[in-house]
Amino acid sequence: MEFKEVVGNRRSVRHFLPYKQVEREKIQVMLEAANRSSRSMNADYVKAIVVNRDELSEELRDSLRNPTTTLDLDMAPTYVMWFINLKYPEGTKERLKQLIDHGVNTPSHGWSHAYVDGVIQKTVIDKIAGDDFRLNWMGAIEAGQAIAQALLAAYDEGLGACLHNFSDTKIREALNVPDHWRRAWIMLVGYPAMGVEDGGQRPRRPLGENFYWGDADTPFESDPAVVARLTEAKLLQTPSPTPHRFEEIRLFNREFGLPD
Amino acid sequence: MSNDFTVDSLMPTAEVQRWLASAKLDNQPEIEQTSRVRLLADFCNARGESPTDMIARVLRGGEEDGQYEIAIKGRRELDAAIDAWGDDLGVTLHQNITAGNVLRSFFIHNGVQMQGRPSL
Ligand SMILES: Cc1cc2nc3c(=O)[nH]c(=O)nc-3n(C[C@H](O)[C@H](O)[C@H](O)COP(=O)(O)O)c2cc1C
Repeated sequence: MEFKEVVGNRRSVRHFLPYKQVEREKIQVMLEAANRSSRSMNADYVKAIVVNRDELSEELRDSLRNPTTTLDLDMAPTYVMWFINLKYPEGTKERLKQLIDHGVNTPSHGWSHAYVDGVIQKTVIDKIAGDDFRLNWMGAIEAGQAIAQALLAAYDEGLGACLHNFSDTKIREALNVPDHWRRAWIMLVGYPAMGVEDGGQRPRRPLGENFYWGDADTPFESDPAVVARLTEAKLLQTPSPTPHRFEEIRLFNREFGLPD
Repeated sequence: MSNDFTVDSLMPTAEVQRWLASAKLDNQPEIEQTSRVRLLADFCNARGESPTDMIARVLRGGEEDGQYEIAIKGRRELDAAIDAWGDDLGVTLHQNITAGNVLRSFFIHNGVQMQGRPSL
Protein backbone atom coordinates (compact mmCIF):
# COMPACT_ATOMS: atom_id res chain seq x y z
CA MET A 1 0.00 0.00 0.00
CA GLU A 2 1.19 3.52 -0.72
CA PHE A 3 2.38 5.49 2.29
CA LYS A 4 -0.28 8.18 1.97
CA GLU A 5 -3.06 5.62 1.83
CA VAL A 6 -1.72 3.91 4.95
CA VAL A 7 -1.80 7.22 6.81
CA GLY A 8 -5.28 7.86 5.46
CA ASN A 9 -6.56 4.41 6.39
CA ARG A 10 -5.37 4.64 9.97
CA ARG A 11 -8.11 5.41 12.44
CA SER A 12 -8.77 4.06 15.89
CA VAL A 13 -10.79 0.89 15.45
CA ARG A 14 -12.93 -0.35 18.31
CA HIS A 15 -15.08 -2.86 16.45
CA PHE A 16 -13.09 -5.96 15.60
CA LEU A 17 -13.94 -9.42 14.33
CA PRO A 18 -13.26 -11.07 17.67
CA TYR A 19 -12.80 -14.54 16.22
CA LYS A 20 -10.33 -13.61 13.48
CA GLN A 21 -6.83 -14.08 14.83
CA VAL A 22 -3.93 -11.85 13.83
CA GLU A 23 -1.10 -13.66 12.07
CA ARG A 24 2.14 -13.69 14.05
CA GLU A 25 4.07 -12.47 11.00
CA LYS A 26 1.95 -9.31 10.86
CA ILE A 27 2.80 -8.60 14.46
CA GLN A 28 6.45 -9.03 13.58
CA VAL A 29 6.05 -6.47 10.80
CA MET A 30 4.65 -4.02 13.36
CA LEU A 31 7.51 -4.64 15.77
CA GLU A 32 10.09 -4.29 13.00
CA ALA A 33 8.50 -0.96 12.08
CA ALA A 34 8.71 0.15 15.72
CA ASN A 35 12.33 -0.94 15.84
CA ARG A 36 13.09 1.29 12.85
CA SER A 37 11.62 4.41 14.46
CA SER A 38 13.83 7.46 14.72
CA ARG A 39 15.26 7.93 18.20
CA SER A 40 17.70 10.26 19.87
CA MET A 41 21.18 8.91 20.63
CA ASN A 42 20.12 5.59 19.10
CA ALA A 43 18.90 4.51 22.52
CA ASP A 44 16.20 1.95 23.33
CA TYR A 45 13.21 3.76 24.75
CA VAL A 46 10.43 1.32 24.23
CA LYS A 47 9.53 -2.19 25.34
CA ALA A 48 6.54 -4.18 24.22
CA ILE A 49 4.90 -7.45 25.19
CA VAL A 50 2.54 -9.12 22.75
CA VAL A 51 -0.17 -11.44 24.02
CA ASN A 52 -3.18 -13.01 22.42
CA ARG A 53 -6.41 -12.23 24.25
CA ASP A 54 -7.35 -15.89 24.55
CA GLU A 55 -4.07 -16.77 26.24
CA LEU A 56 -4.89 -14.52 29.20
CA SER A 57 -7.17 -15.69 31.98
CA GLU A 58 -10.47 -13.85 32.25
CA GLU A 59 -9.30 -12.41 35.54
CA LEU A 60 -6.17 -10.94 33.98
CA ARG A 61 -8.11 -9.58 31.05
CA ASP A 62 -10.53 -7.93 33.47
CA SER A 63 -7.64 -6.43 35.40
CA LEU A 64 -6.67 -4.38 32.34
CA ARG A 65 -10.00 -2.58 32.16
CA ASN A 66 -10.39 1.06 33.09
CA PRO A 67 -12.88 3.84 32.32
CA THR A 68 -11.80 4.16 28.69
CA THR A 69 -10.84 0.57 27.96
CA THR A 70 -13.80 -1.73 28.17
CA LEU A 71 -15.40 -4.01 25.61
CA ASP A 72 -12.42 -3.26 23.39
CA LEU A 73 -10.48 -5.90 25.32
CA ASP A 74 -13.07 -8.54 24.50
CA MET A 75 -13.27 -7.71 20.83
CA ALA A 76 -9.58 -7.43 19.91
CA PRO A 77 -7.78 -10.77 19.53
CA THR A 78 -4.26 -9.43 20.11
CA TYR A 79 -2.80 -6.99 22.61
CA VAL A 80 0.53 -5.18 22.37
CA MET A 81 1.42 -3.64 25.73
CA TRP A 82 3.86 -0.80 25.31
CA PHE A 83 6.17 0.41 28.05
CA ILE A 84 8.75 3.18 28.36
CA ASN A 85 12.15 1.78 29.26
CA LEU A 86 13.30 4.19 31.96
CA LYS A 87 16.80 2.74 31.87
CA TYR A 88 17.38 4.04 28.37
CA PRO A 89 20.34 6.25 29.38
CA GLU A 90 22.30 3.09 30.17
CA GLY A 91 24.56 2.10 27.28
CA THR A 92 23.68 5.24 25.35
CA LYS A 93 27.29 6.43 25.33
CA GLU A 94 28.34 3.24 23.56
CA ARG A 95 25.54 3.58 21.05
CA LEU A 96 26.64 7.10 20.19
CA LYS A 97 30.21 5.90 19.69
CA GLN A 98 28.87 3.18 17.44
CA LEU A 99 27.21 5.86 15.30
CA ILE A 100 30.59 7.56 15.00
CA ASP A 101 32.22 4.24 14.02
CA HIS A 102 29.56 3.73 11.40
CA GLY A 103 30.13 7.13 9.79
CA VAL A 104 26.76 8.47 10.85
CA ASN A 105 27.90 11.13 13.33
CA THR A 106 31.08 12.53 11.77
CA PRO A 107 34.04 14.69 12.85
CA SER A 108 32.92 17.43 10.43
CA HIS A 109 29.98 17.91 12.80
CA GLY A 110 32.15 17.77 15.91
CA TRP A 111 31.76 14.11 16.79
CA SER A 112 34.52 11.95 18.33
CA HIS A 113 34.69 9.29 21.05
CA ALA A 114 36.43 11.86 23.28
CA TYR A 115 33.58 14.33 22.74
CA VAL A 116 31.04 11.71 23.75
CA ASP A 117 33.05 10.74 26.86
CA GLY A 118 33.93 14.28 27.90
CA VAL A 119 30.94 16.36 26.91
CA ILE A 120 27.84 14.41 25.89
CA GLN A 121 27.93 12.02 28.81
CA LYS A 122 28.01 14.85 31.35
CA THR A 123 25.93 17.52 29.69
CA VAL A 124 23.29 15.37 28.10
CA ILE A 125 23.06 11.76 29.25
CA ASP A 126 23.76 12.30 32.97
CA LYS A 127 21.41 15.28 33.02
CA ILE A 128 18.57 13.25 31.59
CA ALA A 129 19.24 10.30 33.88
CA GLY A 130 19.32 12.56 36.92
CA ASP A 131 16.09 14.42 36.24
CA ASP A 132 12.92 12.39 36.56
CA PHE A 133 10.78 14.77 34.59
CA ARG A 134 13.20 14.95 31.70
CA LEU A 135 13.73 11.19 31.77
CA ASN A 136 10.00 10.49 31.54
CA TRP A 137 9.19 13.30 29.13
CA MET A 138 11.82 12.24 26.65
CA GLY A 139 11.04 8.56 27.10
CA ALA A 140 7.38 9.21 26.38
CA ILE A 141 8.05 11.10 23.16
CA GLU A 142 10.52 8.51 21.91
CA ALA A 143 8.26 5.60 22.80
CA GLY A 144 5.42 7.41 21.04
CA GLN A 145 7.40 7.55 17.83
CA ALA A 146 7.95 3.80 17.89
CA ILE A 147 4.33 3.09 18.75
CA ALA A 148 3.14 5.32 15.91
CA GLN A 149 5.21 3.38 13.40
CA ALA A 150 3.87 0.06 14.63
CA LEU A 151 0.39 1.51 14.35
CA LEU A 152 0.88 2.53 10.73
CA ALA A 153 2.44 -0.84 9.93
CA ALA A 154 -0.69 -2.54 11.26
CA TYR A 155 -2.84 -0.67 8.72
CA ASP A 156 -0.38 -1.43 5.96
CA GLU A 157 -0.94 -5.10 6.82
CA GLY A 158 -4.71 -4.69 6.54
CA LEU A 159 -5.26 -4.72 10.29
CA GLY A 160 -7.02 -2.24 12.53
CA ALA A 161 -5.84 -1.05 15.92
CA CYS A 162 -6.50 1.37 18.72
CA LEU A 163 -4.26 2.62 21.49
CA HIS A 164 -5.77 2.51 24.94
CA ASN A 165 -5.02 3.38 28.47
CA PHE A 166 -4.86 0.26 30.64
CA SER A 167 -4.53 -0.73 34.24
CA ASP A 168 -1.30 -2.64 34.83
CA THR A 169 -1.56 -3.44 38.54
CA LYS A 170 -2.06 -7.19 38.10
CA ILE A 171 -0.59 -7.81 34.68
CA ARG A 172 2.87 -6.56 35.71
CA GLU A 173 3.39 -9.41 38.09
CA ALA A 174 1.77 -11.99 35.85
CA LEU A 175 4.01 -11.09 32.91
CA ASN A 176 7.17 -10.39 34.96
CA VAL A 177 7.33 -6.75 33.90
CA PRO A 178 10.42 -5.10 35.43
CA ASP A 179 9.92 -2.02 37.62
CA HIS A 180 11.74 0.30 35.25
CA TRP A 181 9.26 -0.39 32.45
CA ARG A 182 6.74 2.38 32.79
CA ARG A 183 3.29 1.67 31.43
CA ALA A 184 2.56 3.54 28.20
CA TRP A 185 -0.38 2.23 26.18
CA ILE A 186 -2.02 -1.00 25.20
CA MET A 187 -2.51 -1.42 21.47
CA LEU A 188 -5.52 -3.55 20.63
CA VAL A 189 -5.11 -5.19 17.26
CA GLY A 190 -7.39 -7.18 15.00
CA TYR A 191 -9.39 -7.13 11.81
CA PRO A 192 -11.90 -4.27 11.61
CA ALA A 193 -15.42 -5.69 11.63
CA MET A 194 -16.73 -2.84 9.51
CA GLY A 195 -13.97 -2.82 6.94
CA VAL A 196 -11.13 -0.42 6.38
CA GLU A 197 -13.50 2.53 6.22
CA ASP A 198 -14.86 1.86 9.72
CA GLY A 199 -17.24 4.79 9.64
CA GLY A 200 -14.91 7.25 7.93
CA GLN A 201 -11.98 9.43 8.89
CA ARG A 202 -12.39 10.96 12.34
CA PRO A 203 -12.97 14.71 12.56
CA ARG A 204 -10.01 17.04 12.85
CA ARG A 205 -9.63 20.79 13.16
CA PRO A 206 -8.47 22.69 10.06
CA LEU A 207 -4.69 22.83 9.53
CA GLY A 208 -4.47 26.53 10.39
CA GLU A 209 -5.80 26.00 13.91
CA ASN A 210 -2.67 24.19 15.02
CA PHE A 211 0.02 24.80 12.41
CA TYR A 212 1.74 28.05 11.47
CA TRP A 213 4.18 29.47 8.98
CA GLY A 214 6.86 31.94 9.98
CA ASP A 215 5.51 32.81 13.40
CA ALA A 216 2.89 31.66 15.84
CA ASP A 217 0.45 34.33 14.66
CA THR A 218 0.35 33.19 11.06
CA PRO A 219 -1.78 30.10 10.53
CA PHE A 220 -0.59 27.73 7.84
CA GLU A 221 -2.78 28.17 4.80
CA SER A 222 -4.05 24.97 3.26
CA ASP A 223 -3.70 24.86 -0.54
CA PRO A 224 -6.81 23.31 -2.17
CA ALA A 225 -4.64 21.78 -4.91
CA VAL A 226 -2.69 19.82 -2.27
CA VAL A 227 -5.93 18.77 -0.64
CA ALA A 228 -7.13 17.48 -4.01
CA ARG A 229 -3.88 15.56 -4.51
CA LEU A 230 -4.09 14.03 -1.02
CA THR A 231 -7.71 13.09 -1.60
CA GLU A 232 -6.68 11.35 -4.81
CA ALA A 233 -3.88 9.55 -2.92
CA LYS A 234 -6.37 8.57 -0.16
CA LEU A 235 -4.57 10.33 2.66
CA LEU A 236 -7.74 12.36 2.99
CA GLN A 237 -10.83 10.18 2.92
CA THR A 238 -14.57 10.28 3.49
CA PRO A 239 -15.15 11.93 6.84
CA SER A 240 -17.10 10.28 9.63
CA PRO A 241 -19.89 9.42 9.99
CA THR A 242 -20.36 7.55 6.73
CA PRO A 243 -24.04 7.38 5.67
CA HIS A 244 -24.79 3.92 7.09
CA ARG A 245 -22.57 4.06 10.16
CA PHE A 246 -25.27 3.77 12.79
CA GLU A 247 -27.00 0.96 10.93
CA GLU A 248 -23.66 -0.89 10.78
CA ILE A 249 -23.19 -0.44 14.51
CA ARG A 250 -26.67 -1.75 15.17
CA LEU A 251 -25.96 -4.85 13.10
CA PHE A 252 -22.66 -5.36 14.87
CA ASN A 253 -24.40 -5.10 18.23
CA ARG A 254 -27.03 -7.63 17.15
CA GLU A 255 -24.38 -10.03 15.91
CA PHE A 256 -22.46 -10.02 19.16
CA GLY A 257 -25.35 -9.47 21.59
CA LEU A 258 -24.33 -5.97 22.65
CA PRO A 259 -26.41 -3.04 23.88
CA ASP A 260 -27.10 -0.08 21.60
CA MET B 1 -41.67 -7.28 43.54
CA SER B 2 -43.74 -4.13 43.25
CA ASN B 3 -46.12 -2.63 40.73
CA ASP B 4 -44.98 0.91 41.34
CA PHE B 5 -43.34 1.39 37.99
CA THR B 6 -45.20 1.67 34.71
CA VAL B 7 -44.51 3.00 31.25
CA ASP B 8 -46.55 6.08 32.10
CA SER B 9 -44.72 6.77 35.33
CA LEU B 10 -41.24 6.25 33.88
CA MET B 11 -41.67 7.87 30.48
CA PRO B 12 -41.53 11.50 31.67
CA THR B 13 -38.56 10.98 34.00
CA ALA B 14 -35.32 12.75 33.17
CA GLU B 15 -33.42 9.44 33.01
CA VAL B 16 -35.75 7.88 30.48
CA GLN B 17 -35.90 11.03 28.38
CA ARG B 18 -32.11 11.23 28.40
CA TRP B 19 -31.90 7.61 27.31
CA LEU B 20 -34.36 7.94 24.44
CA ALA B 21 -32.68 11.08 23.16
CA SER B 22 -29.11 9.84 23.54
CA ALA B 23 -29.87 6.49 21.89
CA LYS B 24 -31.72 8.35 19.11
CA LEU B 25 -34.88 6.44 19.95
CA ASP B 26 -36.91 9.60 20.38
CA ASN B 27 -37.55 9.84 16.66
CA GLN B 28 -38.47 6.16 16.38
CA PRO B 29 -42.08 4.92 16.29
CA GLU B 30 -43.75 5.08 19.68
CA ILE B 31 -43.84 1.30 20.04
CA GLU B 32 -40.00 1.23 19.86
CA GLN B 33 -39.96 3.53 22.86
CA THR B 34 -42.77 2.11 24.98
CA SER B 35 -41.65 -1.52 24.49
CA ARG B 36 -38.26 -0.61 25.90
CA VAL B 37 -39.60 1.45 28.76
CA ARG B 38 -41.94 -1.46 29.61
CA LEU B 39 -38.90 -3.73 30.07
CA LEU B 40 -37.33 -1.11 32.31
CA ALA B 41 -40.54 -0.89 34.36
CA ASP B 42 -40.56 -4.70 34.71
CA PHE B 43 -36.98 -4.68 35.94
CA CYS B 44 -37.66 -1.88 38.42
CA ASN B 45 -40.71 -3.73 39.76
CA ALA B 46 -38.72 -6.96 40.07
CA ARG B 47 -36.10 -5.11 42.13
CA GLY B 48 -38.50 -2.75 43.88
CA GLU B 49 -36.15 0.10 43.10
CA SER B 50 -36.47 3.20 40.94
CA PRO B 51 -34.13 3.83 38.01
CA THR B 52 -32.90 6.99 39.72
CA ASP B 53 -31.89 5.04 42.83
CA MET B 54 -30.20 2.30 40.82
CA ILE B 55 -28.16 4.80 38.86
CA ALA B 56 -27.22 6.74 41.98
CA ARG B 57 -26.10 3.55 43.71
CA VAL B 58 -23.74 2.39 40.97
CA LEU B 59 -22.35 5.83 40.28
CA ARG B 60 -21.51 6.29 43.95
CA GLY B 61 -17.77 6.22 44.44
CA GLY B 62 -17.23 7.88 41.13
CA GLU B 63 -14.78 6.84 38.50
CA GLU B 64 -11.68 8.45 39.92
CA ASP B 65 -8.49 6.48 40.40
CA GLY B 66 -8.81 4.05 43.23
CA GLN B 67 -12.59 4.27 43.21
CA TYR B 68 -12.84 2.48 39.96
CA GLU B 69 -12.71 -1.03 41.40
CA ILE B 70 -15.60 -0.19 43.73
CA ALA B 71 -17.61 1.26 40.87
CA ILE B 72 -16.91 -1.89 38.82
CA LYS B 73 -18.25 -4.06 41.63
CA GLY B 74 -21.53 -2.15 41.80
CA ARG B 75 -21.94 -2.34 38.06
CA ARG B 76 -21.15 -6.05 38.01
CA GLU B 77 -23.89 -6.64 40.56
CA LEU B 78 -26.30 -4.68 38.44
CA ASP B 79 -25.19 -6.57 35.36
CA ALA B 80 -25.75 -9.90 37.16
CA ALA B 81 -29.18 -8.70 38.31
CA ILE B 82 -30.06 -7.93 34.70
CA ASP B 83 -28.99 -11.44 33.68
CA ALA B 84 -30.99 -13.02 36.52
CA TRP B 85 -34.04 -10.97 35.58
CA GLY B 86 -33.63 -12.10 31.96
CA ASP B 87 -33.40 -15.75 33.04
CA ASP B 88 -36.76 -15.39 34.80
CA LEU B 89 -38.47 -14.06 31.71
CA GLY B 90 -38.85 -17.59 30.38
CA VAL B 91 -37.89 -16.58 26.85
CA THR B 92 -35.21 -17.86 24.48
CA LEU B 93 -31.60 -17.04 25.22
CA HIS B 94 -31.52 -14.63 22.30
CA GLN B 95 -34.60 -12.75 23.54
CA ASN B 96 -33.16 -12.78 27.03
CA ILE B 97 -29.91 -11.16 25.86
CA THR B 98 -31.81 -8.63 23.78
CA ALA B 99 -34.04 -7.69 26.71
CA GLY B 100 -31.04 -7.43 29.04
CA ASN B 101 -29.30 -5.19 26.55
CA VAL B 102 -32.27 -2.83 26.51
CA LEU B 103 -31.70 -2.32 30.24
CA ARG B 104 -27.94 -2.00 29.75
CA SER B 105 -28.62 0.60 27.09
CA PHE B 106 -30.70 2.57 29.60
CA PHE B 107 -27.87 2.57 32.14
CA ILE B 108 -25.13 3.30 29.59
CA HIS B 109 -26.93 6.34 28.21
CA ASN B 110 -27.28 7.58 31.78
CA GLY B 111 -23.52 7.46 32.27
CA VAL B 112 -23.19 4.06 33.92
CA GLN B 113 -20.44 2.22 32.13
CA MET B 114 -21.56 -1.36 31.63
CA GLN B 115 -19.35 -4.01 30.17
CA GLY B 116 -21.59 -5.58 27.57
CA ARG B 117 -20.66 -9.24 27.41
CA PRO B 118 -20.29 -10.15 23.75
CA SER B 119 -21.39 -13.57 22.61
CA LEU B 120 -18.29 -14.40 20.62
C1 LIG C 1 -2.11 7.55 22.92
C2 LIG C 1 -3.56 7.27 22.68
C3 LIG C 1 -4.36 6.81 23.71
C4 LIG C 1 -5.69 6.52 23.51
N1 LIG C 1 -6.45 6.00 24.50
C5 LIG C 1 -7.72 5.62 24.25
C6 LIG C 1 -8.49 4.98 25.27
O1 LIG C 1 -8.03 4.75 26.38
N2 LIG C 1 -9.74 4.60 24.96
C7 LIG C 1 -10.28 4.81 23.73
O2 LIG C 1 -11.43 4.43 23.50
N3 LIG C 1 -9.56 5.43 22.74
C8 LIG C 1 -8.31 5.82 22.99
N4 LIG C 1 -7.57 6.42 21.98
C9 LIG C 1 -8.16 6.66 20.66
C10 LIG C 1 -8.56 8.10 20.45
O3 LIG C 1 -9.66 8.41 21.23
C11 LIG C 1 -8.78 8.30 18.94
O4 LIG C 1 -7.54 8.61 18.47
C12 LIG C 1 -9.78 9.38 18.52
O5 LIG C 1 -11.03 8.92 18.90
C13 LIG C 1 -9.88 9.65 17.03
O6 LIG C 1 -8.70 9.59 16.36
P1 LIG C 1 -8.27 8.43 15.37
O7 LIG C 1 -9.43 7.51 15.13
O8 LIG C 1 -7.84 9.14 14.13
O9 LIG C 1 -7.13 7.72 16.04
C14 LIG C 1 -6.24 6.72 22.21
C15 LIG C 1 -5.42 7.20 21.17
C16 LIG C 1 -4.10 7.46 21.41
C17 LIG C 1 -3.25 7.95 20.28
